[in-house]
Amino acid sequence: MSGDGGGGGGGASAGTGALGEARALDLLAEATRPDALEDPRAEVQAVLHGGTRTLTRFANSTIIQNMVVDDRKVIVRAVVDGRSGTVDTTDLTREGLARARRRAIELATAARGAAKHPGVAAPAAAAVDAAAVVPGTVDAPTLALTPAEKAERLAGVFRRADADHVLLAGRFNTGHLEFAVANSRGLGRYHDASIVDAKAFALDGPAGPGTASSYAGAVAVRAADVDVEGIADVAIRKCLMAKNPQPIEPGAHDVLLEPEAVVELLEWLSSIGFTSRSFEEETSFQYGRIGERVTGAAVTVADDPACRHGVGVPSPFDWEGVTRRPVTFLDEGVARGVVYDLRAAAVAGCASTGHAVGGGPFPEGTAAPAHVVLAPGDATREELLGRIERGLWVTRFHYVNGMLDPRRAVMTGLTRDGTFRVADGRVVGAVTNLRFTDSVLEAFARIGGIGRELRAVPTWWSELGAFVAPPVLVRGLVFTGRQRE
Amino acid sequence: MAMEPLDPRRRELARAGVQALGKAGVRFGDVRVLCRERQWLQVKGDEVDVATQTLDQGFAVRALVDGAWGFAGAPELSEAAIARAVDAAASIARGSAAADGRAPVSLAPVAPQHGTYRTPRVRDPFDVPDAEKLDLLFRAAAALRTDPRIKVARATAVSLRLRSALCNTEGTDIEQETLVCGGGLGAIATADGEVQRRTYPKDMEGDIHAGGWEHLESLDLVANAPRVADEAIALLSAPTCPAGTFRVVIDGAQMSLQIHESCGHPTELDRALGDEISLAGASFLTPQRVGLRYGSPLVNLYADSTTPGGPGTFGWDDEGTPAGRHDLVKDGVFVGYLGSRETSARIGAPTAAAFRADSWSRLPIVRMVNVHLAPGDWRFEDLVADTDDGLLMSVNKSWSIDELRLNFQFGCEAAWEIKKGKRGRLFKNPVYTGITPQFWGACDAICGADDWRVWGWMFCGKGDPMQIIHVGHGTSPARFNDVQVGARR
Repeated sequence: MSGDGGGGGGGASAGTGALGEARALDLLAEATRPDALEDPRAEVQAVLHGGTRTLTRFANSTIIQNMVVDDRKVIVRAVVDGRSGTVDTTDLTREGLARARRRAIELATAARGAAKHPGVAAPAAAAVDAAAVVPGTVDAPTLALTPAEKAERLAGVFRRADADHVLLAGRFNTGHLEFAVANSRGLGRYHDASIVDAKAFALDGPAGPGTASSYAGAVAVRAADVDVEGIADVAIRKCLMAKNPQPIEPGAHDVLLEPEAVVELLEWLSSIGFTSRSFEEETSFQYGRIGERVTGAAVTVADDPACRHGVGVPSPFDWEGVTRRPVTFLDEGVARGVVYDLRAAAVAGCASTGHAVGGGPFPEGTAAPAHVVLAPGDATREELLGRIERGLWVTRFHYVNGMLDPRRAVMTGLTRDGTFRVADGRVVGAVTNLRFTDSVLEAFARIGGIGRELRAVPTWWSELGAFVAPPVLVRGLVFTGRQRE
Repeated sequence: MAMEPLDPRRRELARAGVQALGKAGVRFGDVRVLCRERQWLQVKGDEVDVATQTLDQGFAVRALVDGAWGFAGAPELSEAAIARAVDAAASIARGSAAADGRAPVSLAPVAPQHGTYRTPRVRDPFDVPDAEKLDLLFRAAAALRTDPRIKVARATAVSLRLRSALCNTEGTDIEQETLVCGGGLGAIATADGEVQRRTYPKDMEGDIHAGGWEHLESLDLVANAPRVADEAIALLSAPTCPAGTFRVVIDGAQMSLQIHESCGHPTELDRALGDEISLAGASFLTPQRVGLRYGSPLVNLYADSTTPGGPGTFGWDDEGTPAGRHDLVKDGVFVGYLGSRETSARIGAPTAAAFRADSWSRLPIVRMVNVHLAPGDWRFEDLVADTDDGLLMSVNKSWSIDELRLNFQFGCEAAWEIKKGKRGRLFKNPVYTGITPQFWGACDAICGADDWRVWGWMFCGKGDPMQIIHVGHGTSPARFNDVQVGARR
């Protein structure tokens, strides 16, 4: 479906409602025309974000949601005398955007107090090193995939699961995402990409206590790169391995963490330690420690917008139109800094790194990483397993929280969807889920090896980024409880 | 201030959509038209940190054909766009049914509904001038800055107004305007590498209620700011909370999250049936466990979407089921679920008016409304006086619970020791952990109606894709025995 009249009918797909570059930039340019601004002191930027998505969700080996939605919106920011106001709207008519602009200017004008916002980005901020940025990719066959076609593929997958007496849950989403920024100084940028995001959970019975579960998933720009049947097969195979989990006592265990589990930790490290706000408010574990070793020498973490390894939908510029620059957070365990948007950079006296964010459900006010990559090591997964005499293989974490003590990056969370005992380098059986509580900085100082295989894991809060991680062997991760009734 | 008026034709458009559904031959369908406005203002120190407003409008069509659902939505409010969405939704439903007709959907009966609902309010926050709101926030933030060690002094005001119309093929034809408003303040204190924070009434959004600007004014942020700042400073030099097994009194703010995570989410019927596996997980409270013991006989938990001031209060949920009260845990026994027409039909239970979407662009899913712990008969002062050796936990800082909602761990902003019935030393970084039915089974005292109030939460996340919705929890402080405090064994 589309707000401009496209789509509809049985062929409704993600490819039906795109604005396209010229129309998107015209729309935003019209909304930010300097001669249209209600206040001559104002600078204005407008961001188009969203797209057409076909979302197919399933559980108990049946489709429970199948939908097509067009939900583009425009976020207008006005800066007046160093203070900003922001309005987002789904009304993309000329009148709707003018209304949003007027209100944003009102909010910025009503603001008082310190004036720290430097204004909207100069066109020069859009300078692009073409070699360093992954171009957007729009894959026509992906966009043409209809909900009915996805349902047919999933029906086949469900039959495979039936044969192994397991139930499947998950999602098979496709979409066409558009992202554009323009401002009253003349900057204008557009990026679009197709996306396909599939994940499968296999369960050996109805959900609940005692039921084994497992996970597999992938994200890409081309449907041809996501093997839905293969993903389901991996989940089914892991589920069969996860049957009959045995209780295990908490304590310090050597663990091989799959990339999905590592990414959960990276997401929280990013939130509490790599944002401009965490540094400005002195809560980051990097605050006051730049240049010092804060974790193990094996750990190098960066935001790498040019990472070409399986990134879902990279965007070459941020929510202010500034070209994303690579930023190293931890260089062989040494604290190196955080990301900045225009405001945070002005306060800190540096340049924006191109990490402004927006559009999410939470009020923003910080710059945040978008494409975090943990540098790979040189080991195979089998070699990492082989280094464990007695320990665990953790495929995923659940509900990790890093607010316990951000200066030490103390986190807690639970294992989920398959936790396995390892003995003498071999997986020997499933165990019940465990809760860890540990300083991740201290745990990453006990790394026993890092895998060489990187995997992209989509972040739940953004379709315009994925975190990338290899498997990691951590010695003595501290587990403090277990799932039981 | 409010933005200029939105399109008022919501009901007419919804009715036109239902007519189109009839022509498309769907067995059941509904059309929901929604305008959503949110304003978030936040002052940090001497700066306006956040000044944002949302104007989000669109429509959603659900179509049930041959036992399968189809859904389509778009932001364009026109009869033509809705007609196209009806075609798309019906077509998707037919395609799903043809490919995967394993579990035909049926719906629990709900009589056709008619009427309007409007949240009572004294003063619509969208009519309050920006300058007046910011003045209050600046004064509150200034009142926090009592000491140079207060690194962050933050005051927040948030308002949300939802105007919707819903019509379905069974004859339901309703319109409602719900309004929530609230805010809070927070201080971060730093010294010598230590970071501590204290918030009021709690962190994130503070506290929201159904109603108008009067709720934020009633919180008296300015008067509470010096205490909040003093406690943040005191935490910098406070000893770490001791670990061990303790009798624990939990304040209302933290109890509201304890209820949310360990009762609200596990009693969502879609989770219990496995529908939410792909993000949030399942529940230990499976349908076979209805009737089993959940907590001590003192524990009565219920959903009530009619509670005055409750953020989860409305006239009807997003499929037109009228608001009401439903027991979840009665005298310590698990007795019922939050549900939708579809999920309730799957277990043969009455629906509980808990089907909600955070946007026109998302399908409703089973959500909490207001989930309350019924008051007991203790006065808070008497409860503390009755505690010979224990801890008082105050306001959430960290939250984590497993995918079945059994093993939880909560960190709080502060704890006080209770010795011989008196509140004693302040402790930093308190953490407590437990297993849900064991924890609630050890509840031996709940404070009474004088200490009972509704706590509002703005950011309950669930669904795939994630939906964020507002909920409420009425509770009073309560006491629990043999609670494990401290994370490490």
